[in-house]
Amino acid sequence: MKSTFTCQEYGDSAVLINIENDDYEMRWLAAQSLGDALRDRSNIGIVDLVASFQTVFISFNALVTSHDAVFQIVKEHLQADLVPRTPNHFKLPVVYGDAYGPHINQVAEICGLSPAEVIEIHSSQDWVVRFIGSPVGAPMMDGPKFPVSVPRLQTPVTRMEPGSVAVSGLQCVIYNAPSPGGWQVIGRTPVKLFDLEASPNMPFQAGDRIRFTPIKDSDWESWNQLFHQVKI
Amino acid sequence: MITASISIERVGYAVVQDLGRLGLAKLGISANGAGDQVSARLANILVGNHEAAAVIEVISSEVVFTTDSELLLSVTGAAKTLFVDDLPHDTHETLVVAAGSRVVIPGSVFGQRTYVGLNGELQGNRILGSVAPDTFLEFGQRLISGSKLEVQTNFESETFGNEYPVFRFSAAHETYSKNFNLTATLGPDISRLKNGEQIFSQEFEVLPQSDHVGMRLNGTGLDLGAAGEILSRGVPIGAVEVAPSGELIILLRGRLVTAGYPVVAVLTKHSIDKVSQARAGDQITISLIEMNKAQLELQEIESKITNTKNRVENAFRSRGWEALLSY
Repeated sequence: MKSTFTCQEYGDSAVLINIENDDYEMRWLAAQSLGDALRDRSNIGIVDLVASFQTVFISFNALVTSHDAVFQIVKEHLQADLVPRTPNHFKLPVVYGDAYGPHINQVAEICGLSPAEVIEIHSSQDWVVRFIGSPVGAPMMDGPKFPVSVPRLQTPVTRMEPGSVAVSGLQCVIYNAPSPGGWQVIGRTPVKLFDLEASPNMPFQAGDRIRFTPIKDSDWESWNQLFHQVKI
Repeated sequence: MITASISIERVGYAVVQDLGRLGLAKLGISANGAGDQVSARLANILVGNHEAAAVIEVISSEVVFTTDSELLLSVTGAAKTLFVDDLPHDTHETLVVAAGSRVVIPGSVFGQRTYVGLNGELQGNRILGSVAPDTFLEFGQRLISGSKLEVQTNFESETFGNEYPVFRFSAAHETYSKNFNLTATLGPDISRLKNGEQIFSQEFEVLPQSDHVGMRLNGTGLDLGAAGEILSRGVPIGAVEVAPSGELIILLRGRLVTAGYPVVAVLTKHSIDKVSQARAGDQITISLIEMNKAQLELQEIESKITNTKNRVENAFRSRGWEALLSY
């Protein structure tokens, strides 16, 4: 089924495209396809672009193009047929709980589960990378469902350790860089997920699948390697 | 090309800065770069550099340095005056400074960002093509008292002679006070809020917990209710968000590329530069303007910049200073 969409002005140099379709996967796929088609098109005045769950944010150089010209380009691209993605699969080790996942007991309590059951749900199915966000190459994922939508922390943490695996709502994210954050941290991966020296800087992209594997903290050192090696 | 340098005698907070990293949202990398982009571009243009070259950004403090060799220098942004060996000079001009001079740029009374342009290429490591500090990448080059900062430049008296001209470009610039009157266009979520338009008739105060990611303003009294639940999506620099507490947050150049609070307005490009000059305690009003007005405003500013650029270029060429021009 073809998606419809709305276009909104988003300041003097950007637009927000909102995809409308009854099917969640279709909304996401349409947003991602539009993102792929228009990203890096500085030749037509596009400066930057973020395709997320069901929206596409496009910023442009207002001296070169305009809201109307960008809306027209979007319209043309959204008429094309969508091509399903072939995902890459990754297996990612995580030390759950204790100092690695300080909020796991809280999450368990909210869900009415034991910490072991939280780990079981989190690591038994694939998470889908929906898009890459901030800070620094953070994979924004959804997939396995906890019994309730996990609320954000009452007081955000001032420093998330790199590798922190955190949940909120029905989503999961990995913080690749030290940053403040409001999500509940249930574990941490020893794998370095973003490498400035590597090309590409990270091997995963929207649509890829990540499966988390519980490991012991004594195995932390042996996993101190790049993400490229955890592709399966 | 020679290696010139300045020796930093005293400095508060100053960094090597440029226009930031654009087009990297796909990696979740924030733009960052000079808070006041037009002032940073002008600092470069006045000394003949490409406008995206590295400059020094001085924030809420003074900087004092001595020149180890002669330099072609400009100061733009908040500072109104600088002193070369105790003699006052206007900012927003092109200055020839002799070797061994002591340059004092006092902290500004109003506004908070001052830019220093030096002809040539400032030393500095780059990450993803930019010298701009990024706290998430744990990257940045801060100036420290007692350190030297090098610049590769073509400016030397052997080539240009000792009879330096006096330039008068008087580049157009803002004058700051404690009151910032900003302009914005409507944000995509304004209709989700009851009385969202009231932000255009309120006066706000900049809260001290503001930083390069976002400026926090005191409460609007707006009740978000269910309007607060928005799935994360891309957000522009200058987005005016309503936080669950009812406080306004203006996203600045260090903003995360996605966010989920309702966006009730987006500052014009010009006002994004302006607001970067506001300090904690300053007063802010936001006026709603039509989109075509916002775009006219943007074109006017660009034409002023082009005008300055043309005048600098003509003046340099008429002196036989082509080698100093990077544009």
